[in-house]
Amino acid sequence: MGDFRVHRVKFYNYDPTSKAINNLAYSSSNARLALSRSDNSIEIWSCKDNWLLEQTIPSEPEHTVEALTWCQDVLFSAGLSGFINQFHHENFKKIRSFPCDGGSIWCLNSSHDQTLIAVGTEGGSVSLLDFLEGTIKFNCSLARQKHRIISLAWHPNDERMATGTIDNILIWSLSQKCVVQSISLPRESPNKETIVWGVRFTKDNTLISVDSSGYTSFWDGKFGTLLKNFRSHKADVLCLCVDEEGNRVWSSGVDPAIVRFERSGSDKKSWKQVRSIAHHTHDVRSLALVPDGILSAGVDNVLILNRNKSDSYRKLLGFPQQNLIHASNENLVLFQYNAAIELWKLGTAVAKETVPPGDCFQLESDPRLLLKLQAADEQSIVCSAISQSKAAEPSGSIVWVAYSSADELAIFWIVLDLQSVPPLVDVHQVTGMPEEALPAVSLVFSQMWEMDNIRPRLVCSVPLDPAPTQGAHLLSVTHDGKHFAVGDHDNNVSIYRLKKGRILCTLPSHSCQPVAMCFHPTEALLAIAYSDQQIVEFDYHNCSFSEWCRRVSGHFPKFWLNDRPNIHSLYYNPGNVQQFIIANHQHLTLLDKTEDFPPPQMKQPDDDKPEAFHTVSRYQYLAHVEPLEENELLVVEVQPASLFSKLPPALPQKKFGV
Amino acid sequence: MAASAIGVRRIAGGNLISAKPFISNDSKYIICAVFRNVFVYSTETGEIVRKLFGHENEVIAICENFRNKFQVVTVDSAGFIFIWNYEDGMAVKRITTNIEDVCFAHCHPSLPSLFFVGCKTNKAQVAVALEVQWELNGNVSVKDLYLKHVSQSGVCFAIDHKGQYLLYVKHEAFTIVERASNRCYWFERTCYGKRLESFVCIAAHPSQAVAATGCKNGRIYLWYYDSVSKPVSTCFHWHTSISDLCFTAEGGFLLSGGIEGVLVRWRPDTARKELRPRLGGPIQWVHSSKDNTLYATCHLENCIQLLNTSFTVKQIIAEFTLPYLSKQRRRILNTVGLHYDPVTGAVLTNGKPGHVQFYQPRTRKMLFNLDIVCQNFISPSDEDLVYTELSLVALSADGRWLATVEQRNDGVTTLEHRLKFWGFNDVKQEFELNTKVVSPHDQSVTQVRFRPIGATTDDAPMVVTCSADGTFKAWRLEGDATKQRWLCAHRAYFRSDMAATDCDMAEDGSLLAVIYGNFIAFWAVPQCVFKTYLAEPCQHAFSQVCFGRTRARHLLVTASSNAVHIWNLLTFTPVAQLLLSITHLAANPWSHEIALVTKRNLLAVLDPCLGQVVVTLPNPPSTSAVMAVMFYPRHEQRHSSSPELGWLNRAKLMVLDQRGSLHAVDEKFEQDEGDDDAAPAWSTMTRRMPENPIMNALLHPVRKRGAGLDADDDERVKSRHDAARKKLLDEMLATPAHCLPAMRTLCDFFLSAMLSTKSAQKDTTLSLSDTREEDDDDAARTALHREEDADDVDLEHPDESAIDVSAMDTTTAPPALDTSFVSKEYLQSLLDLQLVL
Repeated sequence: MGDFRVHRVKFYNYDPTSKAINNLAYSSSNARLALSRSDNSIEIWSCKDNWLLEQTIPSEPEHTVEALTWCQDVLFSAGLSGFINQFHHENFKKIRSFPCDGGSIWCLNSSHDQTLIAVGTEGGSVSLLDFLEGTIKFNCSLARQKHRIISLAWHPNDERMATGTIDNILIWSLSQKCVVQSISLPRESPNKETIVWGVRFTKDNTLISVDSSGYTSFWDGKFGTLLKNFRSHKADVLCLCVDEEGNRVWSSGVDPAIVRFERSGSDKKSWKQVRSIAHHTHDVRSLALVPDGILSAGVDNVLILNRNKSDSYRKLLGFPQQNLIHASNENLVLFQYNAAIELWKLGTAVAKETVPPGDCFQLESDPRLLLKLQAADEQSIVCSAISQSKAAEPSGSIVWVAYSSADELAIFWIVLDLQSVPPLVDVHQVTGMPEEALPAVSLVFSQMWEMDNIRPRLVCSVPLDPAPTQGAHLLSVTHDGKHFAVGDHDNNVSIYRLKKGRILCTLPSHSCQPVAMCFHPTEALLAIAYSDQQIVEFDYHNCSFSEWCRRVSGHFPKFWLNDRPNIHSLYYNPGNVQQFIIANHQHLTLLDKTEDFPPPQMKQPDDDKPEAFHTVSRYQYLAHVEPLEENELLVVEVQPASLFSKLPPALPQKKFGV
Repeated sequence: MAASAIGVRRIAGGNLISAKPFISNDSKYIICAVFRNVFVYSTETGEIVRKLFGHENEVIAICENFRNKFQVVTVDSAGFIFIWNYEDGMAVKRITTNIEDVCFAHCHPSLPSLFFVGCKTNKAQVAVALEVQWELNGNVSVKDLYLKHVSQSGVCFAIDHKGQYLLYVKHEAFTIVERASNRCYWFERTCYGKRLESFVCIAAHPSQAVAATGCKNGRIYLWYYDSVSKPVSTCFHWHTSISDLCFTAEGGFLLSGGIEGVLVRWRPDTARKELRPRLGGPIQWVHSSKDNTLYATCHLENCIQLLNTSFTVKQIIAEFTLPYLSKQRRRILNTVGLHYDPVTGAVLTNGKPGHVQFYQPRTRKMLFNLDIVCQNFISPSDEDLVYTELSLVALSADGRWLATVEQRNDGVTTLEHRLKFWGFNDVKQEFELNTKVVSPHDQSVTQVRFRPIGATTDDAPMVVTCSADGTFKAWRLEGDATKQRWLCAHRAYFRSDMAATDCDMAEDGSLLAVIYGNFIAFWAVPQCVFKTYLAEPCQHAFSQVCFGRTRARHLLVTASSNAVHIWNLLTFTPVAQLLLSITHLAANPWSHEIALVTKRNLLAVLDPCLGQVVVTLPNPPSTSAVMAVMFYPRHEQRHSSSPELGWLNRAKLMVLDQRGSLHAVDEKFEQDEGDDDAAPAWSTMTRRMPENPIMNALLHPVRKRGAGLDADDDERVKSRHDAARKKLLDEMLATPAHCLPAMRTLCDFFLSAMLSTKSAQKDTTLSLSDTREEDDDDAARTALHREEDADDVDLEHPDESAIDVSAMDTTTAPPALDTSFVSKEYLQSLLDLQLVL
């Protein structure tokens, strides 16, 4: 185990307030989860890849996202602009916007046979859209009602539909295009209207509704009579979810307990409130049924997977999973935010004093913000990069910084002289970018250019082989700049020669996506971490897995494979290349290649025995980990307490003894 | 030897809640078991209405007899089943099963002849479940249910509403067993997906397929097991720890109780709850009456509270308060000793935490608990809580003033201790706080004593407290009649480096003796003038000191770690030394004897004038250690049969043991106050009927004898009965004619009573003398007891209970002579009389 001098950075200012999760939509056919946030961005998570955040669709200021739905593996979103957005089924680029009459859209739902999409609007009308051969067409509009349509649900046979409005639930017959049943809900007080936040139908024609008075109600769908209602929550119930057989129902809302209801009785007609799980701290806005349980998410920016079988749960942080932080030499760190990048100089400790392990060094100089670059037109930044800094004449240094938004790629060179008074920070943007320099999803600097007469030129454009259907997301360059590797969403990793722009080799296909990779500093080795927590080392000269990789393949212990967040940082330890530095949101691990693996059945790491895995879970919510020079380690933390303090107030709960 | 004439019997402290009580169908009575006795209390008055004696072993369960709503069935640990008519206090039937070590028994309305019984196994906490079928004719068949791992606690077992399924919980599993096929289904629940829940109790819904299980961490799970293989469960949570659950009669509510002493009423379908806090100590059982008008909560402090449906306490049935706190913490009870209150005639000792209880042995009633510390009791949770506890109590001789010392020492913060003086208010008839002294000494107070009201002129009450800081303080009541308060009048010490550990004052209140290690220092009171001191000859520290009373008022008795010394106060020289190591010392205020308790738990009475132990009680009153002794005055003086027992003339000795039971040491023949430890007597109607031998004879019809009596017993019983019958005939002839029932009903019986076999006649005199020789009457009792097998008075079965007079005919049924004509109790009293004479 190595000793590091750790830069424990806590000033990465991640703002969770605009990141509240409003909608969840799960498509079982392509195992993708779409979620929308309150900043109107949409994220695509892959369920098969250990809930890997695959893609973020940046927000568009003119389109809010109020509802999401999948139809034939195509994602649709709708919002208060009154447009329905259709996204490409593979790369999730927006294909078209379809206007819908009736004004702002509150809800959107596709029929069970995936041919119709129903849209509920502010104006009180329900529009039905045909989705055939990849295009949507307006079909018809149902009779306009007095109030806005807040929620809607299809009956499993697609013949009926229920819509929830203010104080009312309407049941429609789609063959007759008229209301066949209207259920009025009582008001708690005469002036406070009851909003039906969610409705669902089950196969046996039971209608389930949740409303703003805290009730979860079960109705007979044919006669509109109340079967049973539960005052399950203390405040608004916002969302509801039914399993496929229609035997279990979950509901949650402003009172963040997720309450489960089950059928009981010999005739399966009576409903019982079964269990209440309260893992969320703030409002739960949406629930989704996923293969092994129920996924819930809300204002507290956390996804919780409640498993059906074992009553256990898993917390998935709603945190970006790609690298937003990049380090350079001379303690320079680049932070990427939603619409800005920041360049920081880390603090330095008092020269080489020794402290006992675990203690703090005294800082000689504090960390300082050198530069903040705001993206043009408040565009969302997709990726960024920083080069190694290089001494410049007569004093100071030069460092290159680049970022890419959804529309453009920007490169800057910055002259820094921190010794001079006042400190010199000179920023120059590279102008005249060639036409071929398209916006990027991943950027890496490989070599230093000379800085006079900058004329950006596209050196080469390498076609990816095999061409990824969903696009690449990982890029890494060797230290000598001769080779680079690309990982894509189709689980492929390929290595290319940079100069010739040709493929060198492609790694054997893996069952899930790569999540992090890095090159060996000196040898022809590439280390890749996959989303199933496997670490692979590939020798690209011999086109084979390294000897270590073959030895350990399939021997990773249980505690390593089970229920861990995806790895976001993987590096060779520069001080000892026999070690990997691996980090996810919760664990920082040093993997020693020379030591033996523990037995595969092991569920808990044994701290006493020297083993290959040395895990530290002292740092919470690790945003980034990267080795710096001279045995220094950069650790960027986003502390749970600071995240919690930035969230809006939650429903006050009485706690015993407080 | 005098000791043989002395007996120890328990007079209070029986566990009222050892079995779950039963409320009669009309909610008029609540039936509770105290060890092997069953008491019928009225729910209106809280008084004992009937006493059902008969069990020889601890009663385990009280159930309704579902064949006759006016009867209860009790099961004891040796497997005997008794059927009682609780309305008239009459035993109907005793049924013997061959089961032993019964730990629970349950029955069910739809299976009136079945008992589901758990038998202890040699494994800890594990019982085997059996199905016992009994009939009124005494036939019993036992069927093994093949459930080998049932919990020994009765609350872990239940039967569903139809009697189809057996439900039980054990550790982490809830099990449903189908009775017809013996098929088991078991389920677990996890708590937040981490640990498995550990179940502690279960209750079955009376009309639906619903079971409620309580967990160690206070959660309640409701299981809807319509489909047995896949029950749906709901969780409620309020308690920190649950001890019992109960559905109301219709199943509309679920009652739960736990360690907090709060009764919670849940509506199972909506999970709404209503709370009834501040009921007292931790709740052990919860019970609901059949007509839904009463809830009964049984508390560990040995009381049962009856609440109506609006949660108002209607009646409290309380026995001698048991130290439940120490049971929780497995720590010896910090007893304040026993004290006598002359106003109420009650015994004072520790009650609930921070309370003094007043218990009246004469009426066997718990009068009240006086709250001394006046602090809200926080129910103990996982961590050990430190309470303010009562450490010392003293009561003035006239019972008008009470001094208490309470302290809280958690070992972390500074010691908190308070001295409180309570005056008796004649108008309100209760003690009121008069003076509170915070930190009366620098260190903890070791003894507090009232000055006896003696012959001296100064009669103002005075209290002496001595402390571990080496000083003692004299407190005096000052002020006029309208406003009185206690003030410190004197403070003195003998050696400041030594702790004052005990003190006592002479009978006339003129001399105070305080122990300082191996010295005893004397002061003249009330002025507190130092007089002299004594030193222990072997340098052992004194532990207790006691002045002699009445005839021995010139003597001082001291105890050190290995010896008891008697000193003459006139010469200040030791008179006698007894090599005894003792733990307690109590002077008899009405006589000169002093009671001692040795380290080996032996009771002895010391006569200081003779300088020797006059009586030792070889048998300790119970197996647990003696916590305190006290002399308790008789309400009327009596004259003892032997001169050695003269000390019992005016007072008897009371002993409190570690289990919280109060025992009385008294002469053995005394039977007037009832005896919990007495051998079981077959209870009959006689108690309610005029004590008339004719009535007794009529009430006990002639029965055929049950098989199983050996010949030896037969003979003895026969002879005894013949003798008794002779006596009875004499009395019958002596009874005035107008008191007798109609001659028509008596005739047959009278005539047949005159008949007797030859052998019986021959044996009569002989066996009578035999019995007399047998000093102990145990054998007679057992013989009588076995006899009772044949007795059966069942109102529902007139055929069986009919008075079978024809059986008396010698020609047709010779063994009929063996049967008893007389009430056992009557016979008993006769025998006792003979013994005394």
